[in-house]
Amino acid sequence: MSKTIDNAEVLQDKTVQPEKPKGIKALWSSEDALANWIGFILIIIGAVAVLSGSFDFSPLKFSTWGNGTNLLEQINGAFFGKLILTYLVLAVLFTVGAKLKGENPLKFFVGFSVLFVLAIIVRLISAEYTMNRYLEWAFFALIVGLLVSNTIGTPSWLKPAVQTEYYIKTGLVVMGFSVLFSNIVNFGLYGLAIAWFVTPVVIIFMWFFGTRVLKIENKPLVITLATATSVCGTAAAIATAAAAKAKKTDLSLAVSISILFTILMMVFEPIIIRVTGLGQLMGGALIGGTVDSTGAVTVAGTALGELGQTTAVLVKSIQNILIGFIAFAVAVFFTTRVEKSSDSEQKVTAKEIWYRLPKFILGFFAASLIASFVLLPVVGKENISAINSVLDQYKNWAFVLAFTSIGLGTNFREIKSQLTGGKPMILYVVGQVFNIVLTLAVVYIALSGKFFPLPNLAT
Amino acid sequence: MKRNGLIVKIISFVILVPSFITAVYIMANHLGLQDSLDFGAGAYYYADMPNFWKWTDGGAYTSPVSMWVLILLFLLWGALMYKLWIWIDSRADK
Repeated sequence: MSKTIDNAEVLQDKTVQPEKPKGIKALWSSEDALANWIGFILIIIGAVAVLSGSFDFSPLKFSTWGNGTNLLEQINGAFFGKLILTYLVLAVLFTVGAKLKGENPLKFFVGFSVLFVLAIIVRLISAEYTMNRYLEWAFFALIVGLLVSNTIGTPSWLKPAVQTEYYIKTGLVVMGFSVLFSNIVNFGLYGLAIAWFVTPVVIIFMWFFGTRVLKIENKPLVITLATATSVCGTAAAIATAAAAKAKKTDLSLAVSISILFTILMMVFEPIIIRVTGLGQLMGGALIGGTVDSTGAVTVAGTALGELGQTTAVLVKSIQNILIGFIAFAVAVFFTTRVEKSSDSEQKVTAKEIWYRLPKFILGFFAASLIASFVLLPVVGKENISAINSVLDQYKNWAFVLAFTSIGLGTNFREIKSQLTGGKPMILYVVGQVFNIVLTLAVVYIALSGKFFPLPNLAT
Repeated sequence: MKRNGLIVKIISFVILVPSFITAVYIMANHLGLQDSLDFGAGAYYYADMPNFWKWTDGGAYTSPVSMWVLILLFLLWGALMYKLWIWIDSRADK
């Protein structure tokens, strides 16, 4: 008999979580520690595979199909080989982790296997020509999960594997390896001013507007939307939602709004920039600082020309560095101010902050630091990029599992209640307008040539 | 208070519906895409954008300011903004 999960709890699925382990035991049995272990195992194997060239660790990636290309063309022996590799790697790592967390490994394995099949369907749909170019897999993962949970219901035997936060944290640790601090130098002071001056100001503005003007009581939703708007869409929303312990529906709402407006901005921003005569240099920087997804930034920048493309991607590459820092700041802020106010009025001690701080963020930073300052100088950007091409696919699989889990644990009624009278939409739009105006002002000061010398960019 | 809630709902509806219809129209007509790029808004950089590193290999711009100075400025601005966030939030509480 199937049983539907009724309540969308925080990202941490309390229905399947044992009590949080303390002390030294937490190093191998807490969810955060396991996310770090699994993330680093994937990073190490991926790095060894690429650098030694002795074996192929690349997981399955569906090639684009549709628009004249048949889906079946990519299905061959190699396809099934990659599919089996992906399944085995993820199933073994996550099941061992579940066992170490104190859960029943057999039940987890059975549920995970079915969840993985759903993830294959998600990635198959999102590889379709039009879907691939406009919508992220997160969108389809939510839809597939929601369809199951709101029609036949999420079966009780699937529940042990419906662990959103477990997959998200693991994916984030893997993602940390692709966040290279060295990118900060890519556009010098110009890039730092455009990407970093604006971002925290927009976050603070949206926090104040959301919590004080719109009076949205759901603070994790406000901060998740704020970072999705000001940093880089889905990836930032995922990291912040995990750091702020947001509800599953907070994350899905923030991601949905971000995806919708990214499509609009990708198309309309280059048109408006051309009409207003802003030029490729300033226009590209404006796109890099305001359009949410990196893919959309590149496409919109290319619409302006080569210089526009280069400037847009340079600014975005700096903005992407911010994810870890902002997630860390959000975790500390929520630990010391938001969660504290409901518990006690006493000042939170450093020990308490350490205890409550999501440790996967440390794994994220460690992966980022190792990639930026240990491996990059030794093996070069091309090799780091090759490693990231492998790891990013594992990260995508982990996030697809996470978003499918969100859909499986959500019903339509909860999504409706999450809209809180349309306030999140107003918050996003007002925040995005503020973001565009402030970015434009900084871009004008930095790149108009009236205040500072123009940068010498090679295209 | 109820009136404000209704206004927020109407504004939200007025934004959402045309945005949604426009997004569907854009997708249906493949607007805004670049023939030379096999990706779009749904792409995630290293996973979906071939040779992404070429855009960020440092060849486009040579910064006269060292990386460590930039990192220092980055951290200083971040710390200042974090303090500002706490200050604004505390003031609003009062």
